Amino acid sequence: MADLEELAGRLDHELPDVAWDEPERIRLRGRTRAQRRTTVLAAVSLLVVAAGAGWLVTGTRSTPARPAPATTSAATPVPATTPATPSPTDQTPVVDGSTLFPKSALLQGPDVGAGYELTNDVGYSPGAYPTWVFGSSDCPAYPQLGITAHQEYLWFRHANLEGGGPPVFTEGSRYPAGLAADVMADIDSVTKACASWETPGGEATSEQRPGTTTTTYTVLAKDFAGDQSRLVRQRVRTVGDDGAELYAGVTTIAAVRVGDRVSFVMLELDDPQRVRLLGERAADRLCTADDSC
Amino acid sequence: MDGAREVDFDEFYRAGRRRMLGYVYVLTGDIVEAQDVVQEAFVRAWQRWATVGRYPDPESWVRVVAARIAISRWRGRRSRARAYARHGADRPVDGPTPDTVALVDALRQLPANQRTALALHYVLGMPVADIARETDVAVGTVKARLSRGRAALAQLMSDDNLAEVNRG
Repeated sequence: MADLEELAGRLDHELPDVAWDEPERIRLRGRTRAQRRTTVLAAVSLLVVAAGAGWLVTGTRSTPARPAPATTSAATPVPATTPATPSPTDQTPVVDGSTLFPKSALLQGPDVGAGYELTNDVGYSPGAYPTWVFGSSDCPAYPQLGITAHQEYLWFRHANLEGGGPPVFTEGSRYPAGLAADVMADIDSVTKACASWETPGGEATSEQRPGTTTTTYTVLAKDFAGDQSRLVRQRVRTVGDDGAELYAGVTTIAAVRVGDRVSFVMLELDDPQRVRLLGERAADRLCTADDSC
Repeated sequence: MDGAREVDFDEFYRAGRRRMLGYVYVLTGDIVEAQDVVQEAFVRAWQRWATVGRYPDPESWVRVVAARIAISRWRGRRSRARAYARHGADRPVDGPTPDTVALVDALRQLPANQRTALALHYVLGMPVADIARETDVAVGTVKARLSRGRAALAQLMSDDNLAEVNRG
């Protein structure tokens, strides 16, 4: 097949010179990445203590009280798994992030369906993961919303659930006391202020094939699980300047909060009923993570 | 010693990233996401460099990891948002020509194992035996995947839908 035979050459000539991260940056990401159990004890302990202090000071927690973060177990030092050049980080005891957001608190394979398995599970230490599910920086109203709560997580992890059917993506975070409710409030802010917006370019467009992408958020249900929950449809549609539809996709998203933990479940299908059910199961997982429900 | 290890890794990253970009682009169809996946695979390689760096072909390890990330990763907003967060939202990215885009679009409609086999063979020029070793299947299976993939691709490329995309 001629086109396939030419593919390597085409890619070599046509792919742009992307701005690669410098090697030092790649190594730094590897070093600072908390892949399952690498983060700085002192930082996490400080955040946990600060969280407790914040709870005491503000007294505005909107959810039922539940056991405080397990600072003792969270502080259990474990060896860093990342071989790296000696640095202050490497000398510091580290903590297993699973105590803050255990893997078992995520939606699990059997929750999705027979044959599904949790894959690509990765944890991130505070400040390492730069975005969130409702990050919409190309929405003109987004910058003015002052969305910051999601950045304050104590531990973040994401994973895929893969099996015979469409893959499900899930992620979860543990926040200092009170901030998880702020994350839910931020979802409301984004879905309201960015209910619909257009951006030039987008999925499947190029200089040779320009187009415009319209993104919409529609809130389908509220508070169906956990302490708080939202079911949201995100629709992305790209239309070329010639009027042809270049891309159309729907992602159904469930966000559930239980105490100081928030989980997101995403399915790239317009299937609110199923995602709502998965959201309920995700809330159950959050509950059983610390016996709080 | 650590300095030497860093130098080794840096050379490995610089030498392999562009080659890996083409391969992952064929798997994802999105140049920004492909770059993100490639860099993520190299981050993971560095995390295990004490071991991976001693492999006879460390790039093979990175390819396998990159393919897993690319195929399993949730596409769309998440990766775009992450790319924006890392690189800024407004940086224009030139893309390949419509013909190449159409071909990659068609490849992305194939089952992942056929797509991976075709990408390894036609983008990276790997022999069937090497693909078999890397994907942990028999040589005959690779040949079958290549054959079925080519046949399916020919069918897809002749579809009216794809002709429409080509025209676009």
